[in-house]
Amino acid sequence: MNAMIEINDLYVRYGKVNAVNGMSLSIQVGEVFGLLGPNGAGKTSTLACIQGLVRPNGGTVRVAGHDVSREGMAVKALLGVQLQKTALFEELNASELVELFAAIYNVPMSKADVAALLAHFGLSQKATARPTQLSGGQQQRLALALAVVNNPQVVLLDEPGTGLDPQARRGVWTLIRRMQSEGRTVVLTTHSMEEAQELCDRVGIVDGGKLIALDTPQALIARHAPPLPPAEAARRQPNLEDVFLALTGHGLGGTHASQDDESAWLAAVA
Amino acid sequence: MRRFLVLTRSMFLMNLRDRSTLFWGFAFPIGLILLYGAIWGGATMGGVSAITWLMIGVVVLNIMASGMIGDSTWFASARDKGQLQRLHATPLPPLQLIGSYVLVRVLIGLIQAALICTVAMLVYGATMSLSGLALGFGLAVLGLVVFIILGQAVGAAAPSVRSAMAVGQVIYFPLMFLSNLFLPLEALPGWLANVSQWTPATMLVDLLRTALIPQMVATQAAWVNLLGLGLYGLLGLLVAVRFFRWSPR
Repeated sequence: MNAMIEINDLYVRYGKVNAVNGMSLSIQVGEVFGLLGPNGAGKTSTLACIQGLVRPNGGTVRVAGHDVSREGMAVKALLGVQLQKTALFEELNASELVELFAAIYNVPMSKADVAALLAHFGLSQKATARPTQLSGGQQQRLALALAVVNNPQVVLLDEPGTGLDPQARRGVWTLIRRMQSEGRTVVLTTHSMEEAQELCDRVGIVDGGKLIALDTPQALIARHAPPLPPAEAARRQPNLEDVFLALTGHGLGGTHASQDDESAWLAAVA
Repeated sequence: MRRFLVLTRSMFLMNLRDRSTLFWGFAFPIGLILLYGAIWGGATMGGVSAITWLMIGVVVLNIMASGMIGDSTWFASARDKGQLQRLHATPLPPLQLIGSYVLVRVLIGLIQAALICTVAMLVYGATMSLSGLALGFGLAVLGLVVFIILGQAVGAAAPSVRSAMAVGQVIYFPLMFLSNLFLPLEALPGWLANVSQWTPATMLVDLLRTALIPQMVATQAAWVNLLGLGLYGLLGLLVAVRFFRWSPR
């Protein structure tokens, strides 16, 4: 396989804090790759370096052969991005936002193209709705629609499931799998082991700015998960949280779900 | 070019749909000119009808409010909400973003100025020299650009949108009374009038009044006012560039 993203000996410092501490990894074309770790582990800083939003203090990041530090604009044109905060302009409606981002990427889009993209993300009924009129799950789906408006080779998603209720989160996962089936490389950060296990072909476990393990979820579990006590083993299988606990000595932390009715859209997608 | 046009149209829509822009940029100055007209409609100030004198003052007041209140908070708010960072993650050249923003704010400022003058002229009979319109237009654009830059300097240097709003208001409210806009400089104590003639709003209103009202005598030479506005703009630009951030602290 060919590498789509190559990170080599990456360092990011904010004042005296080392957010990323000598990270190296290679992400292959067409895979869904997850950076898993608790808040403050260095996941978002790593993603920000790939996006060209943060200039590293050391090391290099290359996307499709382009050096992010030297060819920032060329790299940005290849990427689709969803930030941790959905950060949508509240005064524009969904269609207008798609038109704006399409124009920013110099992608010609007719009204029919805009409508088709929104329908693809289950938002055809919300074309004239402003972000504040959308539920959390719908806002996240709009953010994902904007992330692929330029038909990117690589999609970077910063905690796409955070803050969503289980149904909305599953809706977002469906869209992420669809992105992969369309041939895109997807890199996501998460502190949800369930999300990483469900979606990712490979997972990089990050703690204290360092990559402490890297493999498929199954291989990581097989190699690092400690045997469960008999009573617990009767109830569940070992998972990535057990791996993380075994490797770092502390847990991943929880996610905060909000109430959001996504059942109708999920049924349609299914 | 299409990118710039769509971005500019989107910015224009965002401004027109923003309630605070609609209130402070349109309803408030129109209400102010109607109120001033009702109080001083028949009086004279500085040898001209008071409403004509006040009309230019309200136009400059609006330009100043647009910069110190509106512009100081727009970028700071977009930065704090993560919207600027979202744009930074795209291949949008920063100069296009700034150019589009300035163009929209100047256009809206000119529309507001035209509305204020139209209401003052139609309702209270204010007058202005048609031969000075082209010069007045150019000076209004200059004033708008200078105050947009000053607003950006405040917004960039402030750590949050709340502090940007507070700093903008701390600058705006004293200048409102001290800049010869609706309170003549002669009404101020001598030392305060001497200080006041160096504020950017005093310089702009002095230039605009002498351009649009032929009988008006300038309080200081036009080149001094132009140089002063240019220096304020340059200083604001240096501060804005020095402290600009795409993301919140």
